[in-house]
Amino acid sequence: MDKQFINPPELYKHPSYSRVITVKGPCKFIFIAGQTPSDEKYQPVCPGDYKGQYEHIIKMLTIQLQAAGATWDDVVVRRVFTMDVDALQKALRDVKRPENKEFPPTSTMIGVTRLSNPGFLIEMDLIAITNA
Amino acid sequence: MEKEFINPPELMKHPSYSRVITVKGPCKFIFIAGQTPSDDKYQPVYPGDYKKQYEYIMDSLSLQLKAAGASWDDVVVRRVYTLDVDALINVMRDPTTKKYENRDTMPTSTMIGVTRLTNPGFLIEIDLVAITDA
Repeated sequence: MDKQFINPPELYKHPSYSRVITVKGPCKFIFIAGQTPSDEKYQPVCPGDYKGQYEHIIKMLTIQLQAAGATWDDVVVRRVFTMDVDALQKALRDVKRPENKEFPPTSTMIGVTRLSNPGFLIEMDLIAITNA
Repeated sequence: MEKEFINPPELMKHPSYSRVITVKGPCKFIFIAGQTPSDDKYQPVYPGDYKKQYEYIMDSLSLQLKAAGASWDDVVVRRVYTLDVDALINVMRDPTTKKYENRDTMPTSTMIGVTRLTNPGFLIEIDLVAITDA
């Protein structure tokens, strides 16, 4: 598998995502369902706490990447849905990010009106690609 | 093509989606555009009716999967956008709502509440990614 990160010089180089990622050759695709800040009964953890919910989501996604034989370095698409974009961005300044600083995934962040439980403040889904 | 459904034991096993799906080997990717509850003039069908709009969307997606040589068993990503998450969840849980997906091959899923779709009468939109053998 041949992977390339492209940040065209005409565009601002964003610190937390890559502009373009290309992958070719034999590979394994890993699709991960939208992870919510939910406990084993699917109830919200850390009510009202963007930082706590973010950290819980990252922990759960890390477990799932590992179960598929992947790491955060293999993530190529990250989609983040949140009830309050500003609150999440503020919380992200104080947390340890799991992504590779030099080669982060592509990303889309969207403010939404509701997730599947009114207590969920953030949801994140991922696509990762590893060697076959 | 080799496909694996993974539901790590550390996480609750959700009844309506798979946590992780992996695919390797020669395969065909099928991308299906966001399907709205729209008729042949792109106007909303079944105004205000979540159950009927949902079944209409799923029937339309079934047609498109079939046209690409795929079935619901091949869907790996499902993205659901709706104006009212609670109304839609109630419809999806309702035993009288038509069932499309196979319990053993549930796709991964993300559901999102939104303020508007392309027509104010559209209550739901669903897009899919499916993968079959090449």
